[in-house]
Amino acid sequence: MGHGLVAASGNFDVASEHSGSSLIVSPRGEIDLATVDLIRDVVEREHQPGEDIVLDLREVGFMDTSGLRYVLELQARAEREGFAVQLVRGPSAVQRVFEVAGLEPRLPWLDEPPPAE
Amino acid sequence: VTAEQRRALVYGLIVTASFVTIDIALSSSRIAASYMLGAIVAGVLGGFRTAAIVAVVALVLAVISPIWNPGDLGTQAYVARLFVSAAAALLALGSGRLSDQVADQLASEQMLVAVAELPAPGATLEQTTARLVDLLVPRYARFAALDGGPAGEQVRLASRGTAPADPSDAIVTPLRARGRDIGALLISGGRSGANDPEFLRVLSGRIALALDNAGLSQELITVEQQLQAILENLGEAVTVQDRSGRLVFANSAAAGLLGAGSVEELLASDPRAIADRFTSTTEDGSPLDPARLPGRLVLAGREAEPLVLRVLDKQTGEERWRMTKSTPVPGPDGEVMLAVNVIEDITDRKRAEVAQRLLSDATAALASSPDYHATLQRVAELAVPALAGECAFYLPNSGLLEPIAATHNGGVSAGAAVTGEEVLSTGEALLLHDGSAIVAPMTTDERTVGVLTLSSRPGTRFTEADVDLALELGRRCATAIENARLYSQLEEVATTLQRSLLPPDLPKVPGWSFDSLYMPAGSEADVGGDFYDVFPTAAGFMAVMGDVVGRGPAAAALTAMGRYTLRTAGSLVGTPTMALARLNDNLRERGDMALCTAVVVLLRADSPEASIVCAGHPLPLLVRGGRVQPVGRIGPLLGAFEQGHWLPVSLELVPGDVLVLYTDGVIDARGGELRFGEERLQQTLTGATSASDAVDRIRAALLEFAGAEQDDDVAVLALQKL
Repeated sequence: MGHGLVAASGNFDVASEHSGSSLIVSPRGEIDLATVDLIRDVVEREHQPGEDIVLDLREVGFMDTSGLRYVLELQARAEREGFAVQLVRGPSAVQRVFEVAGLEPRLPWLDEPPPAE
Repeated sequence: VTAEQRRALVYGLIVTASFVTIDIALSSSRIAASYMLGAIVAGVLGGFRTAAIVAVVALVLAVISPIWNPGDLGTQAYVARLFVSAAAALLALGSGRLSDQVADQLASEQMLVAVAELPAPGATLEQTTARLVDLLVPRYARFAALDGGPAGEQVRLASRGTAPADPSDAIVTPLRARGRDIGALLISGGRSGANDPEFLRVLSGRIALALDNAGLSQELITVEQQLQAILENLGEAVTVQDRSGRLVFANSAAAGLLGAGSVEELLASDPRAIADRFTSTTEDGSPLDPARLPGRLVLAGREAEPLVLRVLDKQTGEERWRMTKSTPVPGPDGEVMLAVNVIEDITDRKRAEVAQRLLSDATAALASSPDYHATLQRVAELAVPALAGECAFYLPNSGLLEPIAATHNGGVSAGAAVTGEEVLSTGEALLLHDGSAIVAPMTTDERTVGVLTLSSRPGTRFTEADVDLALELGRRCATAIENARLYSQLEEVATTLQRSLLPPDLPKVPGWSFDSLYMPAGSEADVGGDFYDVFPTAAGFMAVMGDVVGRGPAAAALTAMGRYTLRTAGSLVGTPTMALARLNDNLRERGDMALCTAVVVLLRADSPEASIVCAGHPLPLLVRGGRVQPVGRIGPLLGAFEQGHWLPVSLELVPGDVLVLYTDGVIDARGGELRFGEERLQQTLTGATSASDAVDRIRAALLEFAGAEQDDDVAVLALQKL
């Protein structure tokens, strides 16, 4: 179990935790153009080379296409650098955005974060 | 042997010789016993040793007197004369001893008096010790030395005479003053009385006292000199006033501060004349009550808080700030005798404070609005009276400087405009008319934007520090002006660009009616990412709507690319999927995860069938008979994957059908904690009768739900089959 870290701005915050071989990133609030950089910052700061990333969307109430772009960016980077990105399904409003964008079938989904080892 | 002893010896020998001569001359005389009178004279005058010498001579002459008194040898009278001579010799020796003692006593007393009188006022310790050993040698001893310091750590302060071969032959007497060892006196070869311990004790006591006084006075001198040096070197001006208010002391800093050429000149001046050189006011500029001066208060026996004064030198027009603190010095009677004033020149600190406040207030004012006409007016008003009596700003217009902001009369002198042109071209500030005006450029890193003028408050003159402040103020104003101009240029560019991204007018297509809604979010400079278009193709017409992910200039570039790629590819190829594939390729080529969602609808001129292709975009809504349903099939958004699969959905449209394309700005619109959402949109459109009815309903519902301000662009395109 790694340490917890929280970055916050307004009603939005991002918690992160090293668990086993994964970095679990848990944004809470609404992901849009104004808040997506906070997730980006936390990942930049916390991600160790080779470490897998789990983006936990369960506490995200709303997400627009800025969030989609970040997920796709992260996935492209994972392919280049050789680590895995997995997403924990969020509320239906969030899942709907992935669905409309035609991305849902193409992303690796989890129902909950992997248990700590 | 002293001169006195020599003289006594001579007198004694003359007396003896006289009696011998008489004895020889008078053959009948037998006066050999009288020879010894010379020894008595020598003893009384010269002491024991001279008496002894003469006595020996007289006795020898008495013994050999039968040579000139024939027949006397061996007689009873001769023997008797010898006995009398011997007795007289003892008398002479006794008187000599007595005389010696009297002389010693006298010398000792003289010595003590001399030692006691020794410490001359102002003499240093070196001078005093040198005089002490001079007193002791040779009158009192062959060798004398003074060592200073506590026992064991003594150093030789002074010595005279020949030191004894064996140091232990010297008599050492410790010197004590005020209960502490201050050194030792070393004496050797002292006169007979020198070994008297009582005398030595008294002498050493006197010497110790003399040395202590000399040391004390030296300490006092040193302290006074140090104090003087400290006061001279203080940056603060220090003055001391007596009860009458007259200055009795001042250091150089005080002379400089109070406008005197020297300390002597200052002390000689009338206090009123000193005060008259300046116009003094309190810190906030109100008149000064002289009774409130700290020196006056202290001399009146009252407490005095430090007082800050603004002081205008009437001759130079220079304004300075001083802080005066006064401390009372009580006299022997307990009444305040003197007031010590420490006057600190705090001009630099106060100027820095004023400058900082002015600059920060000006910066805040300049940042408050991009309308620099208004903000410069605020800055001009801030500069008065903090920095100047009047302030004005000029900007060039068609080559001429034009005032754009000024305090009530701007303090514009006749020459200022001409000087302004010069300053504008050189970019150098000018201090005009003996410091009564400043003309300073307003410069950015690149260029001079305009000119500001300041005229001094009545009676004051500007300094170089004011020029520096004016330059800094000018820099900040110039930056604000440049930023405002850049901002208005940017806004113009953005507005122009955005206009180019929207279709100027939707084309007229027979059998169809179109309407649209576009509400960009935020300011006009913030170019949005929504676009839509309707254009002819070989088969009929194509309607497109797209949304670029992101905002700002980069998104605007993508918006243009999206719109024109779809238009070009759509018109040329005529198939929606090919047009979308083309845009997907273009986006992928950029390689920076440029994403775009789009929906394309192909409307055929010769058939009621419409093809709908969606790429990550919200599905269009079909309003048929007042009921609403999404149409189309979800496909991946553009730019995300190398290979996309976008499948067209065919839809047969009947007259009255309304197809509504929209961007996620509609369903993401925020109302309090809620989002507008797909469901509310479908409800809004339920019962819509035409393209314009559909658009009006959405506009009204959004306004009611979310208000006029939105986070995201909103675009709606409604197509109605007639």
